[in-house]
Amino acid sequence: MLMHLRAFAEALFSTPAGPPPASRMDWLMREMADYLSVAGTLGRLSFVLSVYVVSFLAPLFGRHLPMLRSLELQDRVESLTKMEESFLAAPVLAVKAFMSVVYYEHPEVQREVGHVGPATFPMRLEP
Amino acid sequence: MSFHDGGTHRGPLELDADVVIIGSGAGGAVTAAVLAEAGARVVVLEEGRHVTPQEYGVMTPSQQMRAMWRDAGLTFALGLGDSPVINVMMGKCVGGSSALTGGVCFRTPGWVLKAWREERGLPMFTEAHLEPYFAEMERAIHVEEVPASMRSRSSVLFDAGATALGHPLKPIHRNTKGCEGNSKCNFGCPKGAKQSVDLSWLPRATAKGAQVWSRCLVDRVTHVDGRASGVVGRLLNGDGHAPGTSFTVHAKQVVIAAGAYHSPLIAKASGIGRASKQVGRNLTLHPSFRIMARFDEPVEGWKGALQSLYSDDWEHDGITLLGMFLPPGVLAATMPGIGQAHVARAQQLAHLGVFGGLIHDEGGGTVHRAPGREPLVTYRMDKKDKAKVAPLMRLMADIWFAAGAKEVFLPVLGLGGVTPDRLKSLPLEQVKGRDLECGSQHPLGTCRMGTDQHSAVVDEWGECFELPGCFIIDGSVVPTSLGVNPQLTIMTMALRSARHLAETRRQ
Repeated sequence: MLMHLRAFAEALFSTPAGPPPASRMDWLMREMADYLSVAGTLGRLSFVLSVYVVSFLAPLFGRHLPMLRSLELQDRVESLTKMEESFLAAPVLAVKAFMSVVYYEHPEVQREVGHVGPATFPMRLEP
Repeated sequence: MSFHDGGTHRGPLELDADVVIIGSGAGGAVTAAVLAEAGARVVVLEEGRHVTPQEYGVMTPSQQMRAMWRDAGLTFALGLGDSPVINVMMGKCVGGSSALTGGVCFRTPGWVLKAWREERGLPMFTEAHLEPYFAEMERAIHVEEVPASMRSRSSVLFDAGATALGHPLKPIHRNTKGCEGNSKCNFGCPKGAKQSVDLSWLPRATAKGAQVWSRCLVDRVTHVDGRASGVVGRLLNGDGHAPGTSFTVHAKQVVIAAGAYHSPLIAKASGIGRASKQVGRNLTLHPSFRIMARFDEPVEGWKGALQSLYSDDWEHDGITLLGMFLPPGVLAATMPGIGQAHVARAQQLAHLGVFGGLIHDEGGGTVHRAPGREPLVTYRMDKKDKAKVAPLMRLMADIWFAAGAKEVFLPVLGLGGVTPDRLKSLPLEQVKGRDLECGSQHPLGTCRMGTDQHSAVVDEWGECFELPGCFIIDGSVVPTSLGVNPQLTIMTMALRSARHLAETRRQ
């Protein structure tokens, strides 16, 4: 599941320069695995189901074959964008929401978005 | 020692008490303190961890969600019919949801109390009757008006827009002492300024000998000859903090204070509700919506009190506007777009204002048992409540534009930024429930209070009609939604019920 989640994350947080640094993605996946390990059964199942639904269906919105992680980065961006704008936006937003909550806590990311307020705290970035 | 960790206790556990309380949140902590101060031997059992203010004060929002929120924040109510899926935020920790609220304190509105008297068969709930309890609680948790100097720029801008439209906002009151405006209330106050019950009421309980056991999962209330006799459950001392060895607490009085999602589960497992069939029903949620707005000027809404202003000008339309802000990750999470489109929006976080609106709902939720420890909760939004959503969005968007916003972001899935011209032509009334982003922090009503045992679960003092000696004292007994934050109502009702329980014990 984490492989599919990483493919989503690389696309979601990518810029024209490419995906975020691999070390940052490694950190995000560790945090997401930890997150899911403490969620309850229903919450975890709902999230994992959303990841698989997006991984399978998003490529179809971009006129590609599943799965999302088999697509090039730009095709992933296009497919997810189209699915987010469709009647099936909910699973895209569910996955995006929880990944973003964690991703934007990374100190480098906070600097990139200009948030250096008092809600920023040091965090462990290495495993 | 007052605080014990069931997660590290080895072997089974058996305790004796006068009163055992399930849950250490707003209802449970107040009850524990009142009874302990009255001389009772009190044991409090909490399913969650004991995370101290020193620990949660330095956690990031997502770390705190993992450590202290039920289901790490992934709790939801499944929408039925034309209803949204609602993300419901609740605590699972010593201190309960009170550790996670914005600290906003409102007395129960007079017109809500009138409805309780006239429609819910609770004639004793007058403002005069509740006044001494409210006054005592407000002193105990230091309820104070948020000063103008602590308002965030986001709230100031929204007030400017509301004032321009003839509806200036009013100051919010919160249970704070020494707030420095870190805007982290929902994720653990780093300064211990928010007087959540782990800082205010639980210390009073433990000072009088109450024991608080964390990581204890109560299965059911036991009974002998038709009266409550204690509780049984399992310590969360198994592998990965799974349920492990058993525990028993013997007590002649049991108080269930596990919140609107879990009190009904415990009640049902204990045989309560078979006659009334009301346990787990009548859930109200205050469905809430956030509207964000982008300004050219920097807003930096995280500087200042998280919540400082509100409006009840539309309370008779069932709408309350409440200040709020969100951590950057949560803000960014709701920005449209993937890739550069998303990142570009996220880089504008410093230019975003946020305000919230909640609906005083009729109810329509039900808590069902499900595999695992969490219930399956469904919510069928009443048609009258659904009809309030579009006007709420338009109202708040108009206020933001009156304040000078360049575009607003409505809680509609897949909808990008909206300009004033686009807002005029958007058919918001036709947005389906499933396409709305909706949250809740105020689940209430699933073990509601009343005087008729066929339509209520507990009497006016919180005692279960079907199990004498067993009380429910938490948000699940609040008989209707309130239209305002319920923390003060829950705690005041708990104070009232606990004082009555202490008095009957004395007799």
